[in-house]
Amino acid sequence: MKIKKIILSVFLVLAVAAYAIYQRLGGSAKPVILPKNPEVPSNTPENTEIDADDAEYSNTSTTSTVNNTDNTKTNTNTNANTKNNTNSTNNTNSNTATNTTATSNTNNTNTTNTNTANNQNSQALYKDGEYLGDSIDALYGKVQLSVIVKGGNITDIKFLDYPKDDLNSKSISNQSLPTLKTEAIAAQSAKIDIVSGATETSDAFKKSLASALVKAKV
Amino acid sequence: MKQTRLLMGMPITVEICDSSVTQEALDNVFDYFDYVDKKFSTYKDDSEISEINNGQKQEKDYSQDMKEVFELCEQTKKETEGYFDIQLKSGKYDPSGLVKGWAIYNAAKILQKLGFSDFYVEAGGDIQVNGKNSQGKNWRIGIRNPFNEAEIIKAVSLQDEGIATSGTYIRGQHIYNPYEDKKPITEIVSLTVIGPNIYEADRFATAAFAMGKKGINFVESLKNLEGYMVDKDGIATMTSGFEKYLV
Repeated sequence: MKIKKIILSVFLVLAVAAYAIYQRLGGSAKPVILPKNPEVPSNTPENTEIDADDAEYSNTSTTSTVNNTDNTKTNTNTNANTKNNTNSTNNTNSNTATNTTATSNTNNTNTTNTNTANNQNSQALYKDGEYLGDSIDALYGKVQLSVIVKGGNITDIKFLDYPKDDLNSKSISNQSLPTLKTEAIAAQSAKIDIVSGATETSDAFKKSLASALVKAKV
Repeated sequence: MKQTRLLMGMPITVEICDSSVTQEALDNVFDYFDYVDKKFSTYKDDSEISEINNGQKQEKDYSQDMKEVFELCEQTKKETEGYFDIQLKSGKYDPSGLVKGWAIYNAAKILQKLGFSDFYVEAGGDIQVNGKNSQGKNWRIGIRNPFNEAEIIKAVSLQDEGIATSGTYIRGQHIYNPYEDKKPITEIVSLTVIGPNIYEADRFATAAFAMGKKGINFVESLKNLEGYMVDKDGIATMTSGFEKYLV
């Protein structure tokens, strides 16, 4: 029961944060998709034509993303750059006709339909600038982020404050499975002798990005 | 003494801290990896595994090492509910998911036989450590951030243990789920396993990764193995005994 409560609280906080940003952005047609939020609003007008297996787009974005990482949490960047990617692929002038044409090139009828529908209310753009979200208590720590808008598009989401590694331990539960501890990953500065990792991590990033895009699709 | 060479298509690093270290000892290890590569590389047309896959070699003619690897693969398949499977849809065999850990472990055994006690052997991010580091302390290993290769997200302290990380690779879908062919594994991006040696850590890391999200529970169920899994949202899940390794 306790675990259910925690999960519910976390979801609530994320929802509040999403709404806060949404409001700050002037309640435009496009809600901000928060990273790690599994409940992406179903009416999200994400006209993305990038498929999980579309290596070309993903590749391009990966390169720029890795350079952008800075101090921002990486998993945050996934979504932030997802936006970037979407914007650049979709053409910045939000021309409906252009978008639809581009989409049909992916040979995905479903995507085309969705995008056409979405394009109808895609003329609403954000005002340029950096928008600070409220600092929200997420039980295991404070969460605060800011959204950066350039050229009317969200270009980045920065986590200014996020639960630190050792404070946010929660548990996932499944009656038949053992309860395991989870945490948000965070960069460490410990002195080390050797590094263990998959040989080429950029592909993992690409896949992560692609899968996030799949989720963002209506 | 520490050296890195590019073998088997990946950087292989050996560091020996014993004062008796010689270049010859390091050469021994690198030569062994070269031997393994020539025998097991599916990219080389004249390797034994390629000969087997091309029907040029019958089972009775397999070398001793090949027989051993096939037996270990079969055993691993049984121990991982079929998730570890070297037979591809084409009917060909690709034992590389097991060979790397097996070769690192054998390389470490070569160094032990030569009388060394403080060293590590690392191949493509999978590591066997023995004894102490150059400061006389336990080896400290960082787990790489799967989203940013310049960062580490955990640091563990090991001695006489193996640590392997499975992820998705740029050279084709190196790890796939045998039960859902062609379906890329995108739920999780990285799974690190610590075990009594690199052979155990590597083969179970490979299999558990193929299981997707439930892979970490599989690691939890295995004796003497601990794991740290990172999913696509940057959330990590660790097994109950993992924390004892944290620096």
